[in-house]
Amino acid sequence: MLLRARSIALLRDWDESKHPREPAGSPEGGQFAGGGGGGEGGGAGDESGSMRLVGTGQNRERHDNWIEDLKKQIDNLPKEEIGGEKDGQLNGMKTALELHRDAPAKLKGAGERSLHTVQDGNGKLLAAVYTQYNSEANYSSVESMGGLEHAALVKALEHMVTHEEKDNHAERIEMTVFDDDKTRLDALKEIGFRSGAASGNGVQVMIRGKETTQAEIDRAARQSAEHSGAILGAGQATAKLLGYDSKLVRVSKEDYTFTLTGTVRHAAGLAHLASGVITLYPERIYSADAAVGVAAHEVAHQKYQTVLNAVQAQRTDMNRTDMKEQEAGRPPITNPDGTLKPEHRDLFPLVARFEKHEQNLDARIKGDGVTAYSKDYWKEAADKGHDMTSVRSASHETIAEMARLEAEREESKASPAWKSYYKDVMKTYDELKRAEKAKALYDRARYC
Amino acid sequence: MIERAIVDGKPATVAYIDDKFNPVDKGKATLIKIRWDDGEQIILAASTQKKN
Repeated sequence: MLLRARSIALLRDWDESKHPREPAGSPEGGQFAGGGGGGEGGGAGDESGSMRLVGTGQNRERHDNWIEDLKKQIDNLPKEEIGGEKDGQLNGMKTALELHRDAPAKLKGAGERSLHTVQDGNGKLLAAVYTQYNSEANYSSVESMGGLEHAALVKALEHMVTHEEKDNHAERIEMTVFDDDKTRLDALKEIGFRSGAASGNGVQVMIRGKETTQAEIDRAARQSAEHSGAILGAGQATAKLLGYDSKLVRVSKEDYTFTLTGTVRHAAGLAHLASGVITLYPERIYSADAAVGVAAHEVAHQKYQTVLNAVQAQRTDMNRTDMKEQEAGRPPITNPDGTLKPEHRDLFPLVARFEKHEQNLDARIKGDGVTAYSKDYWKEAADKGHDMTSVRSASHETIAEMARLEAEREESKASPAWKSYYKDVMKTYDELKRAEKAKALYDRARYC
Repeated sequence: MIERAIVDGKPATVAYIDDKFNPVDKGKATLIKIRWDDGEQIILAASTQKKN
């Protein structure tokens, strides 16, 4: 009804004195007589041919007739005009009419699917524009249009703009047009359309109004918040599953950039070794899979390094004690091969626990990682003669991959040597954290 | 795929991977993991575009 009201309002702007109307006529416009000179559809002296009458597609019979007439015109086009300008305009009008005919009545009634036609006084269709209004994003798109004359096409577009902007309150109207479609581009430009940011690759996305509607901005923010929540949820669940404090997994909207071989890249995940905080950057992580993988790797690296540091610290203590014992004339606490004597194993439990894993390093190297990813690191380590740095890197990445598989509840195809090593790393981390907590409680009680 | 590179002035191993941490060609990577020889590491987004 709104659409019809608008159409009627536009018709009121016509100078009726210039277009005297005969009593008999169609429900939309009626017949005209007298007035200007000849035009499309009207021969010399047939003054009704110069009339330009806008309509909104309410007369089904007339529209069906127009569709049939357009089909005939298209079929009868001379060979040299097939695929040409007139063919394109006739097809644009026909498609506009067909789309409107087939659109749901409810949407047509609500003015969310609308047709804007211009005919001459003889009822000949000169231009047609079909538009869809997207209420969720608050914009309208011209789905098809065509015109046999520039002025008629502009008039139909003006009518459409009035409807979409005044009745639907659309914040943007858009139409995608080929770069070389001069007829449509000229008509759109005449009524204030401009080339939008999405233009390119041979097409112009012509827009009128805002590049981005408020509803689109709100939706993007909503989606961004939902996505951020999903990434945080996946990251924290991964941490929890891997026995890591999930509160240490956070998300950030900051843009942490990093230049890699001349290209500016953006961080997806970052571990802060000193604090244990793991930061995920949702705007750079596109799926939950990636979030789980990134979080699992970061957690595993944190845990593994914590354990390596603790074992190393205990080993340093052990070496110092060993030296002191010998300086004092007492027997060494270690065997000639560097392993702890059984009676001293309780003093240095981490060294004792990881002795067997040190001896199993060759078995782990032969185990060659657990996934294609970690195997790549072992290949690199092999290329470098298994030096300390490359073996440490490959071990880190293998532990990270085992953690990722655990978080994804996928079966690990790791060798027994790797499974045993991983188990002791995770067990040791848990013990260290428990000891840390107990110490913090003790210190608090002591100083309070 | 992984490759050796000097990143930020330090030797590192750079891995190009997809969301499931499968090694892939540079052009198909969604993530890039840099692991420096000194133990530091960072995971980067391979795409320079933001997720919308």
